Amino acid sequence: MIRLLTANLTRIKKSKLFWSLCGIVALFAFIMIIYMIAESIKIIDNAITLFVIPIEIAAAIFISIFFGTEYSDGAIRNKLVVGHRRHIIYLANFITSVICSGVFVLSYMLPVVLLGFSCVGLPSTGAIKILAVGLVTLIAFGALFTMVSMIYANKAGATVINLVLAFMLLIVGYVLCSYLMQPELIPTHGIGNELEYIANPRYLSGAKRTFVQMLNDLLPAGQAVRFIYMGDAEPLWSLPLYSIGVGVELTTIGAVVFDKKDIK
Amino acid sequence: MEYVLQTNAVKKEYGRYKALNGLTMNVPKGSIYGFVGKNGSGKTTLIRLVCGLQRPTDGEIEIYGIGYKDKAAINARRRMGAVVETPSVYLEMTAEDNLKEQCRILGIPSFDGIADILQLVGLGDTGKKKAKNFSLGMRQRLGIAVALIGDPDFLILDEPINGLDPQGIVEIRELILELNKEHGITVLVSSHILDELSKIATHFGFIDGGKIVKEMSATELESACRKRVAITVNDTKILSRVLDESNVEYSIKSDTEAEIFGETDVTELTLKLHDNGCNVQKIRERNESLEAFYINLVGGKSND
Repeated sequence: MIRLLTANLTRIKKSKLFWSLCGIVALFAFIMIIYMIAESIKIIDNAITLFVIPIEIAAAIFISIFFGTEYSDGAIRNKLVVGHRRHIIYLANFITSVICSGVFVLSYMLPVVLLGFSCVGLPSTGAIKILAVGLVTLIAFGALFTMVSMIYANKAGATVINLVLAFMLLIVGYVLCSYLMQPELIPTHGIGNELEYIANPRYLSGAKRTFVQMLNDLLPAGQAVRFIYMGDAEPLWSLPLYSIGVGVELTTIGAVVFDKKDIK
Repeated sequence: MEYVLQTNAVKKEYGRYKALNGLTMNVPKGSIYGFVGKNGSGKTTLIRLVCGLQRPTDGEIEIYGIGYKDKAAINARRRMGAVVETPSVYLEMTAEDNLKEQCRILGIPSFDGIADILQLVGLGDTGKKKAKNFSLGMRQRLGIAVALIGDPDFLILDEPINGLDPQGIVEIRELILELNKEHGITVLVSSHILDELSKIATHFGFIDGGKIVKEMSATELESACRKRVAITVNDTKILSRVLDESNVEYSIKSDTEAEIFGETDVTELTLKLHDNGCNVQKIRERNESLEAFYINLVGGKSND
């Protein structure tokens, strides 16, 4: 495992794509901070609660291309021929993808901390909680992208699938969040304190609400969207458990399929 | 005889298609084993199974006497290197970086032997040039160099001369011979180019339809492709009687044509046939090519 990780990380260190994506992620955060300064926004929390989305997209691109190259260049055969077990290869790649996401987070946070904290303001406790929970969300994303890249040997195909998944899941997350954010009562008519309220037909209640809430919390993208729109609203601390569950499940499925896969 | 690789009744099925159909082969230690077969006969499939890239549907594969399901097979695999189909190298890396990467994969802490391996395969002066800018022959040699990391004593090369120019073919041939003779590496080389294999192989395995149809040493093959005389007479029955009396090995092709194997005293034979009332119409010497031998073996059509 350590040997495979060392080999992967050495390749990453020399990867232009990886450092380019780190730069793009940092630039994204930098532009956001500059915008906040220009608009005299004094709360930096938005820059933090958003961090999962750009990193998720960067990870989708990098993980697909990095592991896809192993198939396209045939180098994965070198690992198998010399006797590395398949599940160890898979786990090493999964850990590699998590480390990559971690470096992307550091790249993103660099302008936030260096420029944002001094020029915009310090983050609230809620934003720091979201940062901690979001790191676990990124592990679930890493498990998803690793699974696709290790099962589907076509580099271009895996990249397209992962990117489509990344964006589609965000859309699903947005739709689910929009349902959950519906108010229970909506005003009908009246002025000021004389407003009359009726029940919102789009408000989800009972089992339906529980189901949609659970689905949204299960989906890593649902969590990412939730961080932006719903902040640190409870149940925030159950989200890492969902992410770990999803991550373990996807990694198990991926490792089992990869173990049985015929490699050319 | 000690064997590096033995397979017993190996089968591999992709859905309904049987790529290997009970293949049994034995690769002796220290040999250059020429694995000969036409395209689609199952050569690469077997190599994939031996390398652990795929699992057989049925049958047994033993590397250094250890079955592929055995936990110790992992250690046995560390003693082998392989280039399957295309060279497995990172195209964005230099030759040296590719070898360093393989050292890391194998857990070799020192990069000391890398320069020697690059020198051995003739890539000692490639410097900062990336593998993507290498010629096909250079990539093939780099693939072999990567396979040589870890000092293997069994090397598998799948169609190593495919697509190479004559110079590249000579270089690979000499490299294989050097690895075998000077470094004692057992080499399994698959190819459908028989003439090329006949120049280096000490043993042959002929595969057709997913089965080994013949395994033999180079000496046995040489005697199988021996000299013979093709003779046309007016009556092969008389010819047959004369040859039987002379205790000569022969083969009747038709009512008027036959082949006589080994060295033949043509004058003596002609006189004997004349005495028995048989006219010799045509006589010529032939050598059976390796290609013709293979075609006969697998039941195809020759151009002869």
